[in-house]
Amino acid sequence: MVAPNQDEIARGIKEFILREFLPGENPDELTATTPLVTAGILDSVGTLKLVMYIEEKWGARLSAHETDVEYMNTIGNIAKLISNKLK
Amino acid sequence: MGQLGLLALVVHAYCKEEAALCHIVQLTLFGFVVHHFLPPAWRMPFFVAMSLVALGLVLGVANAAMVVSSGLVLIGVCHLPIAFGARVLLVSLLGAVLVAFQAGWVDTGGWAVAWPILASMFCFRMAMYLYDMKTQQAPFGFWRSLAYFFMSPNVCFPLFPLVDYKTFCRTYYNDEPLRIYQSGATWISRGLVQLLLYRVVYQFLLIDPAQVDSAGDLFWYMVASFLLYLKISGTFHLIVGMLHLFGFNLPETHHRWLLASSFVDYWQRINIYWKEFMAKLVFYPVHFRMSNWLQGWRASSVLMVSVLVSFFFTWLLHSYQWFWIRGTYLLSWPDALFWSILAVLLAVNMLWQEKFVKRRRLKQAANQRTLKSELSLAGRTVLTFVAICVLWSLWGAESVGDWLAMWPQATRVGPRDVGLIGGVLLAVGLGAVAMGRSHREWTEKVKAPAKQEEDAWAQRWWPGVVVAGSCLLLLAPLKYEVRSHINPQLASVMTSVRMNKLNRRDTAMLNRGYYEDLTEAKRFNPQLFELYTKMPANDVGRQGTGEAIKRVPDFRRKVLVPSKTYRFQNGVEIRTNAHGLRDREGYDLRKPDGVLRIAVVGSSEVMGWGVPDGETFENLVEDRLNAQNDGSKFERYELINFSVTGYGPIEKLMMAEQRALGFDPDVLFYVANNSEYQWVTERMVEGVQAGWKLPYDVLDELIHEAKVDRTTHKVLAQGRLKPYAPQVLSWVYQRVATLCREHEVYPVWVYVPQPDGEPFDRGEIRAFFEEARKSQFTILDLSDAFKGMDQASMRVSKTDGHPNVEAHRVLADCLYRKIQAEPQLSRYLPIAPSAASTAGREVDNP
Repeated sequence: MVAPNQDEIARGIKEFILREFLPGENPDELTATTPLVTAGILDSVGTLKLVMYIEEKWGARLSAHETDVEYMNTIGNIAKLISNKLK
Repeated sequence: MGQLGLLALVVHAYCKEEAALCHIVQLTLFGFVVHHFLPPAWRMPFFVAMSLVALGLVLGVANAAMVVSSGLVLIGVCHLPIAFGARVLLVSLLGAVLVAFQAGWVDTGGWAVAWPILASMFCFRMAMYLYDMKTQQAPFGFWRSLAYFFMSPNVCFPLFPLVDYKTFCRTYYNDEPLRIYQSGATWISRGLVQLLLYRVVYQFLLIDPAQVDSAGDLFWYMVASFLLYLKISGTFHLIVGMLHLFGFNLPETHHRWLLASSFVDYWQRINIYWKEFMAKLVFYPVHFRMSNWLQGWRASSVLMVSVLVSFFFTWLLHSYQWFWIRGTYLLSWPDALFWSILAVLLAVNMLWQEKFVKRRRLKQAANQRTLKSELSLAGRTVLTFVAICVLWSLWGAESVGDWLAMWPQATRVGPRDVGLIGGVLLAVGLGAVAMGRSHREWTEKVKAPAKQEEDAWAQRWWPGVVVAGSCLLLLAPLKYEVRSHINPQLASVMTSVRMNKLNRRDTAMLNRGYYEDLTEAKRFNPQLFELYTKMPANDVGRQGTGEAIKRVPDFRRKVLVPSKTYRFQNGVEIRTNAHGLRDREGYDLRKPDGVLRIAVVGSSEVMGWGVPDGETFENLVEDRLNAQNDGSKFERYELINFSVTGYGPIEKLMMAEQRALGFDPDVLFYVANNSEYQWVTERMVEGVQAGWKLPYDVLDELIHEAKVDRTTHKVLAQGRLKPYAPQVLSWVYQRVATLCREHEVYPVWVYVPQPDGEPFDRGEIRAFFEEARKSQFTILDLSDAFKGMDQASMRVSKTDGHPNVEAHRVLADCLYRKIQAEPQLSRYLPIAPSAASTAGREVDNP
C-alpha cells in the first residue's frame, strides 16, 4: 500500500476539521497556515479527537508530546508530522 | 525607558516596604538598559549573571551560593552521560534529600531559607526540563539552562508561573525587540494595577464569615474570596513582564479570568501555564495511556477518566507545591472538595460542549453578534462567575463547617442585598459582552505582518500611552496621603493600600492570639503567610516561653502566675510580681497612708508585650509622677498594672472587680483599644463552645436570647452574637463605672492606639467613646499619641503591632499630658497643670 503524500493528508485533516469543528464555515478560509490551537479552533479535547482520527485513518501513532502546539497549530504542520511518520 | 521609569516610581511608591522587590525592580531596570545594548550573544549570559546577583541581594551571599550550587548539581545530573531513567532516579533521590531539609527532618540551620527558593525554581521546572530533554523538544545549552532555572524575579516570588522550557526557548527574541519590551512594560503595569486592586480588596472588601448576616453579605464574601486571586494574577503579570524586558516573549499567564463563560473557558483563562503544564505532563500522557488500557470504552468515558485523573494530580501537585513553599502539607476537606467538584464540573462541561456546542468560528465577525448571542454570553458568564465564587469561598474556608455555617444567612434578603447582588452580576454580564470573548493570542502573535504594519501606531504607541497613563493615575492619589488634611479619609485609604500591611481583621487576630492559631491561619491567608515567612526566628511575634502566663479552663483563658518570667524569642524577659501582676514588687494589698493609687486594667499593650520590665507606659507615668512629686498632695504615687495579655472587656471587668478593687485604689484606669466589640463577641463564643460558665448572668441571658449554645457552629455563633456586642460593652462599662463609685474609686476610660495599626473606619471607636461617656467615665484619648511620627518604627517588630519601648515612652508622655489637661484628674497631681511644660493640649475625642 502506498503511503499518502503530505497534500492528501492535509486535505483529509481539513475535511475532518471542517466537519467536526467548523460546520458551515467557508472551506477556502481554512488554509494550511490557519492557526488552530492558538485561535481556539482546537482545544485539548479537539486535539485528542483529531489524534484519534489520524490513528484511525492513516494508522499513524502519535506520542503525547506530539499534541503540542508546535505540531498541531496548523494543518500544514500536522500533515508534515504524519507524513514523516508514515515514511 | 520613560515607561519603565514611571513603573519604577509606582513600585517605589507602593512597595517601599518590600525591600527585596524594590531591589529586584531597580536591578531589572538597570539590567534592561545594559542588556539591550549588548551584542546578542552576550545577552543570555548577562541575564544569568544578573539573576545570580539578584539571588545574592535578596538571600545574602551564603544562601545564594547554596541555592546556586544545589541547582548546578541538579542540572548537572540531568546531563550525566548515563541512561535517562538513571538520571531521573538520581534527580528524585536528590529531591528526597531536599524534602528532608524542607520538612525539617534534617536540621540545616541558617540554610533553611534557601530551600523554598530552590524548590520554587526546580520543583516543577525540573519536570518540564526532563520531559523536553526526553522528547528532544528544545535546544539545550549551559546559559540557557541557567537562565531557565535561576530567572531573576524568582527570588522575590516563590509562587512563580510554571514557565515551560520549550516555550522559554522558542519565544526568546521571536519578535522585534521593541515590541517584546513594550509587552513587558504593559504586563508589568497590568500586574501592578492588579496587585493594588488586591490590596483594596484585602483591606476594605473582605468580610469575616462571622459578619455574614444576609444574602448580600454571603454573596459579597464569596466574590471577595475570588477577587483575592488578583494577587496571583498580578504577580504573574509582573514576573512575565519583567522577563519580557530580557527578550523572553512568553505568552500571557491569565486572560480576563473573571469573565469566563464556562468551566472549560475558566480553566483555559486562569493560570494558563498551569493548565499547559498539566496538559503536557499529565492529561495527554494519561489519555494516551488510558486509550490503550481502556480499549472498547467510549471515547467520552476515556476522556472523563483522563480529566478526573488529571485533576487528582492537580490537587496532589498543589499540595506538593504548598509543601515546598510553606513547609506544611495541604490536606484539608475544603481543598479536596474544591478540586473534586471542579474536576467533575469541568469534565461534564467538556462532554456537553463536545456534544452540543460543536461550532467554532474561523473569524469572530462583528456582524455575527446578535442580541440573543450577547444575552447568552452574558448569562453563561454570570452563571460561571457565581459558581466559581461559590467554589472559591469553599476553598478559602478554614473548614467545611465554617463555610456551611454561613448559608442559613442567605435566607435574609433585603433591598440592599438585591441591589448588591444585581449590581455585581450586571457588571459581570456587561463586562462579558464588552470584553469577555475567549479569543486569545496567548502564544506568538497571530496577526499577519502586513496587518501589523497597518496598525503601527496602535501597536507601537498606544500601549506606551496606556502604561504611562496607568502609572500617572496610580501616582496621582498619593498626594492625598501627603496632604492628609485635604481629605483624611482618602489619605487613610491610600496609606492602607500603599503600605501592604495586614487588614484590620488579621491584625486583630494576630494581636489577640499571638500566633497561637497562626499555624492554621497561615494556611488560608496569603497575607498572614507572607508576614510569617518574613518573620525572623527571634521575632517578638513568635511564641515565647515561660511560666509567667498560664492557661486556665475558665472564661479568662489565661492568668499571670506570681513571681515567674516569660521570655520572648528576641531575649526580652517579662517578670510577674508576687501578686501575679506584670509590675514591680512593693505594692501592698492594703494601701499605705499618703499614697495615691491608680489601678490600670487593660490587655497586652498595657501589660507591655515584648517590652522589658520597667519600660511600660504605666511604669513610666508612675516614675514621672513620683519624680515630680513635691509631696504637697501625696507622699507617693502608685500605678498598679492589672493588665493581662488577651483580655477583652469582660475579662477586664472581671479583673477590676475581682482583683483591682481589692487593692483599694483611688482611681481606676480602664484601658480600651480598637477591638472592644470583636473581643466581646469572640470571648463569649469561645466560652460557650468550651462549656465554661459565663462570669455574669446577664451574659447567659444574652447568649440564650441570641440562640447560641455549645452546639452552635463558631461562625454562626459569632454572627448571632455580633449584634449584641454594643449592648454587652455598654453593660461592661456601666458595671465598671458603678463598681468604681460603689468603692469610691474615680473611673477613667483611656483609649490607647496601636502604632501604625489604626483601622480605616473609626465608627466603632466613636461608639466606644460614646459608651464610655454614657457610663460617666472621665475620658482620656491618646489616639493622637503617635501622630506625625514614624509609626512603623514604633512596633515591637514588623510583624507585631504592639508598642515598643519608644512607643511606650510616647504613650507615657501623652497620658501624662492628658491627665494634666483633665481638671478632674489634675487635682491629684503633684504640680498644677499650668506649670507643666507639655500640658495644655485639649482632650479631644475622634
